[in-house]
Amino acid sequence: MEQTILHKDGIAILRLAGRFDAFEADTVKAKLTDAIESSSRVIVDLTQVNFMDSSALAVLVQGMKHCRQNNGDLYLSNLQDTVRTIFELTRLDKAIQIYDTTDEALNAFKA
Amino acid sequence: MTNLQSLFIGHEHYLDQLADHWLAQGAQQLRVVSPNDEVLFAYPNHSIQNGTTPTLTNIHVSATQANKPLFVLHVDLLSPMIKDEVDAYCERLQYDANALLRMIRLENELEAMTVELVETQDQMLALYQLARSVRGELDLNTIIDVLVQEAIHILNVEAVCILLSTQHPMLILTHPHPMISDSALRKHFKEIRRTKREISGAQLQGSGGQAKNGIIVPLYAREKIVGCFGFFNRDDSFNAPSLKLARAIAEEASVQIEKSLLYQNTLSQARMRAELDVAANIQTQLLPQTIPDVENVDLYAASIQAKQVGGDFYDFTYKEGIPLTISVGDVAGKGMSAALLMAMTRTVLRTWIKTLATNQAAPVLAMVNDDLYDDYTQVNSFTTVFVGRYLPESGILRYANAGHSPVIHYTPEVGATLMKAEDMPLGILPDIAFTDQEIKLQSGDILVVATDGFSEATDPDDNMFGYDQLEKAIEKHAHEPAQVIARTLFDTVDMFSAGTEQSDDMTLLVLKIL
Repeated sequence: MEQTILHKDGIAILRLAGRFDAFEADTVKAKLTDAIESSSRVIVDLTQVNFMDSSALAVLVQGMKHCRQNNGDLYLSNLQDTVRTIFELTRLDKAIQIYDTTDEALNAFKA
Repeated sequence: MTNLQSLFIGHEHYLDQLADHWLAQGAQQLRVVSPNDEVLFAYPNHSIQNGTTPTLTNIHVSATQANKPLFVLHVDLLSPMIKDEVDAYCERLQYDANALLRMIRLENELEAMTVELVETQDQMLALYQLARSVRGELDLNTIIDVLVQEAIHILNVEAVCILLSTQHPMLILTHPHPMISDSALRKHFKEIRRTKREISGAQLQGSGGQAKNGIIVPLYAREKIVGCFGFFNRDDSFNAPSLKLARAIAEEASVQIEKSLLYQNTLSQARMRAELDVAANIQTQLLPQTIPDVENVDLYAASIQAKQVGGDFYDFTYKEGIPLTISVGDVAGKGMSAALLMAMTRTVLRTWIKTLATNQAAPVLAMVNDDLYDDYTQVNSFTTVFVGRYLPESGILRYANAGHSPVIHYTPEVGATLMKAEDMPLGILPDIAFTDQEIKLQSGDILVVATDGFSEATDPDDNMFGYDQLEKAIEKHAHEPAQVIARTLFDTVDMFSAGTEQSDDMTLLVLKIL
């Protein structure tokens, strides 16, 4: 799956595209670790992600813990309905902040 | 004996024949003389006053090699002759000298070729011996030991070494003692890998050892350079045949090493498979083997494991003083770490269910999260769990749901509805405020707790089974006993997936109130 990292106002934005499952978990984990090393404030933009399994969720949870250990945080943005449902059903939406747009997530960091 | 004399050794019969021929023609003597006038052979071998007898005419010609006179052939002829006659004799003698030289040279070449042939045969025999001594041997260390010992004898060198990069750490073996330093050998290996060429002669200088002559040849496995074989200080230095032999030894070594590596690979795969089988077996055995017998409750649960060891589990606890407690969980991820976490979670959960003095479910999950949060974090995983505690007397089901789905509640009046989780999974945060929920179950009600292996099962077109189909299937078979409902749900998913291999475990618990 495609993965790109951008930086805006000292915040790392990791943009993912495609199916995010156990087969992709290791490569996304590596990319996310790169992003976190550059900044402990990370937004994962999931606009192009249409499926996530529990291994994928585990990668994001690990990233979230990692950011918080470094006094930062990990926010999610632009979730497709199917992906948002996964977060709602597992109630991971209680643990990880989800924003409708990346701009909203950026503003939340700056606030 | 001079070099020139040795040239004729074994070929004296040619000289005999030549002399006989000239003597029969009336010559008095035939001599082979060195360029500095030393007589090497004379026929007949009695003293003739060389050139002093007036009746003798001496003719002589030089046999040359690479434009230098090699020897001079003299013939003393009787009686004086006219110049034309002398010239004719000289021409004949020159012809004979050339023929003699050519004959001797050819014979010497033939002899050298024979020696080489014998040597080649010896080498082939040695290689055969080498192949034989490692035949049937699969242990890499033994193979390498034999290779280095045999190579020393076959090639007549002072020392050999082998480097293999397939092992961790890199394997370096020298026998009987190192000729170049390990670091130099590593450097040479890098170079061999880069250039795909052997290293010899001047390139070996400055290798930090006592190598006077030597060659380091690449070792191949599956068409890749995986190491190198070095041979050092051959008695007669390395000539063309010994270089060929060194390459042949390395080739044989490559074959043997590749064979052993393949075997190791197969062996470790088999071991890993066996370990996973053991883990899968343990997991299956960890699941309850019997279903508790509770009045007015029809209970059934089953789990089908995917190809990889996964982290699904279910459990029942029912004993005096404790409500009928059911739990279904799914550890995120796959493989051994998921399997181990599953076993830990199940045990800790079971312990708190039995020992915590409460009929509620939420405090149990809070204790488990407290116990296992660090472990989950350590292996980057988490677990979704549903814990339900049913009191048959009141028909009340108290439950707490840590991110687990799907949980479906069926009532004859309303049909099937999805019971969404209230709390996040175990292992997400160190402190999670789990909440207890409560529903009253009545006769005909069914509770189905499945894992996402069910809802996320896919068909050949990658469509997911989803919750709707699960709910419909439950409604359709609600009149059946729990076991039949469970079996039907497995069958329905099986038909849906139409042979598509499922990547996740599928676990299902059905509780029906009679």
